[in-house]
Amino acid sequence: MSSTAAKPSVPTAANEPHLANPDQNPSFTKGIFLGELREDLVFPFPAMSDADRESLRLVLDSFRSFAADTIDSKQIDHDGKFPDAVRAGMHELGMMGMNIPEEYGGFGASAQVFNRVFGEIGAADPALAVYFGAHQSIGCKGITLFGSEEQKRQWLPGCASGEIVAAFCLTEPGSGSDAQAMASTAVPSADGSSYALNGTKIWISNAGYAGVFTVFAKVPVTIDGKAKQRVTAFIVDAKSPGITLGQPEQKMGIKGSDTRTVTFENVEVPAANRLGEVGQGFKIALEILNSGRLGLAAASSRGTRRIMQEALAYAKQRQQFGRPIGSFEMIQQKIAANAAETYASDSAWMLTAGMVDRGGVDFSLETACCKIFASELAFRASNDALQIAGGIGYSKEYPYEQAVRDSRINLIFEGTNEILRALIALTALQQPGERLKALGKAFKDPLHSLGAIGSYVAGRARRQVTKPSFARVHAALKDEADAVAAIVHDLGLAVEGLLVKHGKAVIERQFLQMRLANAAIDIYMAVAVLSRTTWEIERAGSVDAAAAELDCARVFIPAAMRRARRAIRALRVNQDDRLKAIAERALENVDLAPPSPSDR
Amino acid sequence: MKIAVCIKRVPVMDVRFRIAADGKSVDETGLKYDVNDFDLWAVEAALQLKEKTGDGEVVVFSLGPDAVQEQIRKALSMGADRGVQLKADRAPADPLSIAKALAAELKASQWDVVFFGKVAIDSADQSVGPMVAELLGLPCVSAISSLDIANGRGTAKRELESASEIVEFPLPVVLTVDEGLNKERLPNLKGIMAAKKKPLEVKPAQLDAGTVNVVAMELPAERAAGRIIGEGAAAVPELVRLLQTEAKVL
Repeated sequence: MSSTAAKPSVPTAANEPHLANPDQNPSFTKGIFLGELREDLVFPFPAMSDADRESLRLVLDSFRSFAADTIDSKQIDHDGKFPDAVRAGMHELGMMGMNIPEEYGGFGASAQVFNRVFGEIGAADPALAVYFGAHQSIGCKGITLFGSEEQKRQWLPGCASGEIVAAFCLTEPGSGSDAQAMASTAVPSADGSSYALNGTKIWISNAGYAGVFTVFAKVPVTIDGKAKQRVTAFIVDAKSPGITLGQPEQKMGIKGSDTRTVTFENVEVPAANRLGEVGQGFKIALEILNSGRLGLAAASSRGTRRIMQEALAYAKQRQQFGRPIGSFEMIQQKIAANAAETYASDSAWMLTAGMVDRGGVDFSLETACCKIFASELAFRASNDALQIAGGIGYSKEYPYEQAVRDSRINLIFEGTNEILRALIALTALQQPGERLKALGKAFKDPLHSLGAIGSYVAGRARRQVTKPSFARVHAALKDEADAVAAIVHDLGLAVEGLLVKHGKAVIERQFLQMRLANAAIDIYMAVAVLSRTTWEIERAGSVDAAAAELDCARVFIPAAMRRARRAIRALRVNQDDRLKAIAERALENVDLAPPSPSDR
Repeated sequence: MKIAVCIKRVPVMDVRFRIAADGKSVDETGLKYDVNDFDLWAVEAALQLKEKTGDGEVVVFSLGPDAVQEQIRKALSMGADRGVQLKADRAPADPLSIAKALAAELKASQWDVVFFGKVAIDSADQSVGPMVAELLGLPCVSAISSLDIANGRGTAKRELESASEIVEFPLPVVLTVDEGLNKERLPNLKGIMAAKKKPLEVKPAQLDAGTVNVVAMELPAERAAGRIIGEGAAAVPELVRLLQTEAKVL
């Protein structure tokens, strides 16, 4: 007689929240800007543990049964709010505590499990995914990541049960992507026991339901005799006097989610509710968003699959010219292109979730890559699905137009795709920039710096001769792996050339940043596909058994590398001056193009 | 109140089944599994009974390979207290073998109620529950659609072809659960987490060789394709004629 009674669970490394910690941890994407391939960070593909897989299956089964009985996404879109049973059901299922650690009443889900569930909720109703994500991906994530023991004990159990819904207050009327422009202030009282919080935050998801806000505001400090302001994070009880909520915003999509303005007027926040130290607000906001973004990627991937499922069923059934429209190649092209990209998007968010769970890896740029790629895919795919459905796609009776509206937000919130592209490019340029700066200094004092110059020159020579390569990719993908490695090599050299040419001025050159970011995104997606497909082949036992996966990989990677190669080439050969002239003319005239001949 | 529930791991039915190369079993590749629907209602009935009486224990039994632990843990995540796997390479085709193995295990304790689902949706024998009752020397009420237990006695309703009957019985008893008795609760995250810490004992199933064997399995004949007779009113006389003479339904 044997017993397999599960041992009392000890918090495992997988269940502890990890920070990206960009200052300390190695980053795959930063590496490629140096022409390096950190294969150890992306191989092996992070397969889910059996225990995770089993809990995930149970959670998904429960959620799907609940969704089938209770969630009517079209009705929610029409009414602009959730029926009470939807929120109550989410709370009863325990969904609100999905990624809150077990010791504070949550489920302590790994990033892999959490984001997979996020995707399922998004596929059932995108507005509900916003409710779920605004709460724990960002709303109370700051408390989980940075809260003191007392703060965690005070707030997280309520958040986990859904009794306290959380919201994240960063954006202001004058401060969106530019968080430094923040106007909200938190002024300490004379005795230091509290802060007086003033300011207006806009586009706050979950504001109407919120029991607690994570709020960012500037605290006045004196440094070296000078008055300065330092962004700081606070946990604010929604019941505090001085908080007023605006009316719910009328939005294009995700209408069920409650989005409002929140105004803080002399709100007294106990000093004990400060999250982290004065001045740590930025770092806290970035870390929260670093991991929060992954949920949007997972939800976008799953949403793509769902709306295309509608379109696929339609394409099989709709007959024209005596055959199903799915048999026409113009329809098949849309299906295949979205399939290969969904395969890539799934591979990338799962690889990145694995990094989050593993810890000790900087995943900040990778989550940004995933969010950008998946959000643009989901919007494009919804549009393709609508096109496949033709006239009925445009009708409100079918789910396509709602999918287009709902998926549109993902390109905007939790960092617009533009600001994220700038983030990827500028962050990744820091390391090569510093190398070159050190070199610049060395040249000013060459006699004492021969070593530095010598090692740089040797390094550059080595980089030009020894190209990076993959050792862990399955042999069936050798050509694809070689193509990716070659592009990484080219990117490293191009970045160096770019920095030598533009120096610090690159901060102003967003045409270039966009190309760098686009190349980085395509490279990361391709690497994720290499990692996953290698795993799929091993799992399936043979190349033939993984034919469906290989087909996607062999379509996606060459296409992505063609785009990346074009982007890298355009760093040198481009029409940027002309593009700038056209844009500035249009801005000056507030008229897009030269007057049409009919208007002359 | 000490309550046992016996559950079976069955394939999820929304797939096209294929017959394996041996010609007498189902090809298991690509199948997904869950707890048999009727057994989920049995688990729910057990949990409700425990909650109503305010104390006691719900123990879940399942016979089969280690994979059945997944189904046992689902029942644990719904709220059952502990699980027992009667380990066997596979569940045998002879329901009497299964019933004997379950009875041998159940006999070791005193139970107030032993619940089964009325039928397993895959093998459809409807016999393990009643056989276990016989082997344990307990009364058996099969296919119950309502249940009330108080003061050591029970009342249950059974749906018949075109009527229903109310039966009374003493405890201990073996009950098999029909559709309509309840709607099973969904495991919530707390339950799923708690289930990981609940005891799940593994014991070898005391299986005999059995005397009933499946010798062949075949899929139902494909339905003949439909036929389009024509369009509009003009086609009606021909349609009526064919429905009368060929389909013989009018």
